[in-house]
Amino acid sequence: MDTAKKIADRALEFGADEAEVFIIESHCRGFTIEKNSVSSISGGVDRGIGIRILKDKKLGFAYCTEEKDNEEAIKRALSLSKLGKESEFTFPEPKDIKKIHNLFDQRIVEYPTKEALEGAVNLVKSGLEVDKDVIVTRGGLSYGYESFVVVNSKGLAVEDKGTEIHAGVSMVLKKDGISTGFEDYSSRILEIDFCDLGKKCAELTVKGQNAKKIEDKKMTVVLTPHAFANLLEFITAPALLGEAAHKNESVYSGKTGEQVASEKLTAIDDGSFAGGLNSAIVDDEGVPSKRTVLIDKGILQGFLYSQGSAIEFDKDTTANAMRAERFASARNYKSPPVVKARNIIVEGECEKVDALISEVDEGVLVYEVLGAHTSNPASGDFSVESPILFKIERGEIVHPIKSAMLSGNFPECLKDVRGIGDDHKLVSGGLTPVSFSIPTVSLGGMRVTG
Amino acid sequence: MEQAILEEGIKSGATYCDVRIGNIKGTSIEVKDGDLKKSSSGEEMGAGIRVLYKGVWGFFSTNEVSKESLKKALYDALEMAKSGSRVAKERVELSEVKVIQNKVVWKPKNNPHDVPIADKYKILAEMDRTIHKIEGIHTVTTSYSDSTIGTHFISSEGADIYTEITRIVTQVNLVAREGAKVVGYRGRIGGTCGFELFDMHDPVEKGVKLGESAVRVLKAKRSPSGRYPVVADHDLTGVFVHEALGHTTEADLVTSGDSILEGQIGNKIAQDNITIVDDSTIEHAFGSFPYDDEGTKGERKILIKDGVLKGYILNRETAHKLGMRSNGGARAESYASRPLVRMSNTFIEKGDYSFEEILKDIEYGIYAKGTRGGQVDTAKGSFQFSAQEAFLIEKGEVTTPLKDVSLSGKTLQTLMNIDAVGKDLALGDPGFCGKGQLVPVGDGGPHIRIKEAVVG
Repeated sequence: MDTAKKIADRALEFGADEAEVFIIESHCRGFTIEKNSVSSISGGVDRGIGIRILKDKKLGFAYCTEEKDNEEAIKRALSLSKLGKESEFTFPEPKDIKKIHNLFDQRIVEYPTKEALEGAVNLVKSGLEVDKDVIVTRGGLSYGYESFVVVNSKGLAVEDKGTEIHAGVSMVLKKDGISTGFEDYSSRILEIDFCDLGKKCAELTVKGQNAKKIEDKKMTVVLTPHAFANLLEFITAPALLGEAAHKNESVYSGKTGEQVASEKLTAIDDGSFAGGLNSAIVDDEGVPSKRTVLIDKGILQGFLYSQGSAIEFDKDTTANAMRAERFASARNYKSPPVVKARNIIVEGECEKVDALISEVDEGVLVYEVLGAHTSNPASGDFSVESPILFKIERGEIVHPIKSAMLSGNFPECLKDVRGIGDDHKLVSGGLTPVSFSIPTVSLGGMRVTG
Repeated sequence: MEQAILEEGIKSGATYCDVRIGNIKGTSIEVKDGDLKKSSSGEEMGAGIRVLYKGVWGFFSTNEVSKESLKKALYDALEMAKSGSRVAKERVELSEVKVIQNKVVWKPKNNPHDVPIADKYKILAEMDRTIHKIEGIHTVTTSYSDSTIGTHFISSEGADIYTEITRIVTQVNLVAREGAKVVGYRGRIGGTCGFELFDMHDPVEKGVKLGESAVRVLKAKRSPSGRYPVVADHDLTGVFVHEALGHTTEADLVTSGDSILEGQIGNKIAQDNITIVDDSTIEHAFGSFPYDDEGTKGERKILIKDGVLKGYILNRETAHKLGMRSNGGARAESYASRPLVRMSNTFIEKGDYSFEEILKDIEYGIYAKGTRGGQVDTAKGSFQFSAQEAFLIEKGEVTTPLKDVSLSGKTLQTLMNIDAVGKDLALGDPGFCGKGQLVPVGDGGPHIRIKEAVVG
């Protein structure tokens, strides 16, 4: 905190009108499993400083890894600011901050490598117990802690810390054809059941054996949380950013107050969600995290803003500033803040997943989709391949399907929600920093091509 | 200093250690509709140490590059490998490589760090202005980023290699809009070179092409869905080769049972007209590098020759498992990550068809162009990739414009279905490949004809 304050003061001495300093330090550990065996263990410390300055109403940003280079970085930020556009931007004022539960677990900080490795062994073992011919092709665990500081010349000075643990595993079974399976788990606290993870993954892999072809047809598609998150990440989340909305780039532009989705669907962004993968007491500009209802029973309520986009479009910030690259899932000191969804939560009248399936006359149950990132973000048109899916007939799962292409317009699909499950799961984004707490969903309006 | 630290690793029981010390300098700017939206500049330092202990890897990275900190990283890596070695069932060994001491600086003709930031901005501003003149273009976002990466690689076997390479990439994201219809479109130019990139590729010309395509897609009809003959352009051929074939030749996937190409060397998996290469030595190409992140020289790797699978992309570990030699396929995103088996510039070699000859026999099909990327399940060999623009082919002629389409299928089936390969070889737009870590890659090929693919 003192270092950050010192650098902010230095920036003012060097001629900045306002200054902001962000310091982040992360410590991580992890291991990988290849072909049923632990193959490598890794760890690292990453620390850096991001400096944003305002000079003559223009913003500039620079970063460095070593504290001694901060003067050089300040100079670079000042020089970059000359190119900027004059705006009414000003850094956020300090505000009262509320505590959020389940974001830090000392047990993760102290998690012994030995114990984590035992978990890996158990994961593989429980998978092979389901079927000895299953191969754990790839798997791994990563865990660690992160602390960050935001200080600005308006007197804002906040620090927070958090822990996180992620595990993922993929398996393959080559018997009656090739089937694959995967399972993942993410949490802010140390509550992980390695055996359950291995068992579930193996069961899904085995269930995929003896797959059949499917004929081309429009039918109901039931997406598990992972598959649902993939489409939300690349289509819905970017369409709900304030800037896209105001610049008329989003399918939701100008539709506030209108029915844009099924009344069964409520979507919220909440950076203050207890235990949320992207939760922290403040966003990356130091603004207290909050809950923003985006779609309430299908009616569009609003969009997401950072300090900058809120000032530009005359709104209030929703605390959605994140320092992350377009195609990177982690926060870092190298990126100036951009607007991103934090934890997208889907709510509604939830029912048991079995009940969702029993209501489907003809459809598919989809565990994984490939290529959601190739969707057209502006129109919401998508076309993805699913390598892990099952046919549903008259309310029953009848057999696995070899693979199929699913296509349609996702915003239109969300207008045809058949039902929402009660199996909420924390899912982290595939290629962007957004996270989710979402259930299985049953949707209409998709074409299935075999 | 580094050599002494690695020696300590060996004395403590490691059979091999290496260290990569990185220095990354870069600038990036983003312009939206004429205004500078984002600008950033900085320098990053750090090191990653890798040790092999009883056949298990330990890796630790830090961005404090002092002697004490490197030493601590070594012991952390060693400690981790030791705990791993107690539970590992398989043991890693490394194939022999030539131990190299060298310094290679790919010096850009026009170093971007000497180019005033205002000139970088000017390129984006001019693209922005010109693209906006196209009717139907709603918003234009352009970005520029340059980076110079210095890497010092030292191994306990005596390798000592310093490399320095510069890359530039410029990206355009467009939104075209007409009433309620909205379409997104994007493209890139880039290379492993300096500011001379813009003499080789005219950014404004590229931007205008993208803009015109975006507007055409906006007005286009939906593509029919089902099974059709498909003609793919350079970009789309590139993403097919990268996603569908390239990933399945990555030897770490092959050795862990995660690839359909396991045990297929010497087998005919494509038509006679197909030769596929991964080449990290192409001058200026986005995925090129002089040495990989294990100190092995980058090379041209023939993956498929005349339809027969000839090889995989290998690092030292997988080369040993398969009884082969490393062909320089180990790449890490930066000093902070462990090297994995990765592609560089992957493409289909040219054939002998002209574009007209490729189209000639198609009664009814799809001509698909440009791409937004794709994804693959390497174990099952199923892939998806998307084109940004498409046209109908009727009676051998390119006719009605269509909206963006996706293609999916099975790698092996599709390879066998490529029945015509053009003579117009070119690399497509530069890309970034994600496999837990992001690395710059190139991909491409000539126009190809796929007899039948699932289009949706």
